[in-house]
Amino acid sequence: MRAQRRARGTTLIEVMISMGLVLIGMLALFRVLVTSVTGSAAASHFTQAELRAETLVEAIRLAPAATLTCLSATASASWSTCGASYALATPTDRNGQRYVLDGGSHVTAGGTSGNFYDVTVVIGFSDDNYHTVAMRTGVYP
Amino acid sequence: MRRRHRRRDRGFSLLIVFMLITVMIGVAATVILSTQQDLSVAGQDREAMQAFYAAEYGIAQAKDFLASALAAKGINAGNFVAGGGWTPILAQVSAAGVTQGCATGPTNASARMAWQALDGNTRWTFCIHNNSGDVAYLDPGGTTPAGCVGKSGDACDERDPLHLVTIEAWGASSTAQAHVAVDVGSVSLASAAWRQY
Repeated sequence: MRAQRRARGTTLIEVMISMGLVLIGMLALFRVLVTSVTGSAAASHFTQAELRAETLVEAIRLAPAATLTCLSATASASWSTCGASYALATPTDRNGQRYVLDGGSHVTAGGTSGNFYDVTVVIGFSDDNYHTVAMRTGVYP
Repeated sequence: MRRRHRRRDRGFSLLIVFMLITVMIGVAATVILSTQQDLSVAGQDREAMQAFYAAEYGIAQAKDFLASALAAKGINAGNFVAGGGWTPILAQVSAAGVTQGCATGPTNASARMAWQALDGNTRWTFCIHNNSGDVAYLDPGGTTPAGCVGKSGDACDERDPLHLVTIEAWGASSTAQAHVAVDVGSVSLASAAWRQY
């Protein structure tokens, strides 16, 4: 009789300890999952920003000399005035994340021959913070 | 008998919990590793592109350098061959510290120009040559110009009837490196062929 009562009590404590441990484990797992989802989203945003930067850099690399002159004389916010290809064609991805052509983007004419263009394209996006992806290259048309 | 059963049952739920926690740790570890891999792949891809664009920066710089050298020598399409072709230009390139010949070539063991910083973690360099023995020399086979058999010099180079010069450029970021070679086939510096590898 006494042994049975002791066994019943132990089981109750066991169940409580077990539930506590499971709860702690679940909380930790939940936190890991949240971090993972945030991390995966960040990786996706960086990739999307990189693709947009790449598209813009390629458009600039293929641009004729007159367009390069226009781009070098125009602030990046108004690059679309030099041609539709020099603005972000899809500023929002399918998850609703918005990308912008950062003000740090520029095309600078120079070089010894005067025909060299230094091209920097910076794409920015905001999640918890503002992030940028920059691509820099040179063009000699 | 009944008491023995209970004694065997004791600790059972705790065992289940430990097993559950082990599974949870496994799931968490997998999820963390997968996320880290996602971020790492995105980063590597970006670095590779930055290295490629740094190499392209080197190509554009080399073209700018050649254009300036041609202008300084007064060489144009009209007097290019009579002026010795690329030979005086390449000599000027060497004199300016930009090495003629590329470190990766089988016959040109000389070093290319020193790495130039582009941004925080990217850099570029280039070299210029018309060495047909170099793996990056892309001149297609052609006929030897009349009266040029056995003669040396770029304008009469039997290996180079098209008067090509090869620009090789390298770009590097912290984890990636890119190599681009371009043949320049005329004094207008229009690319005769774009073959990138």
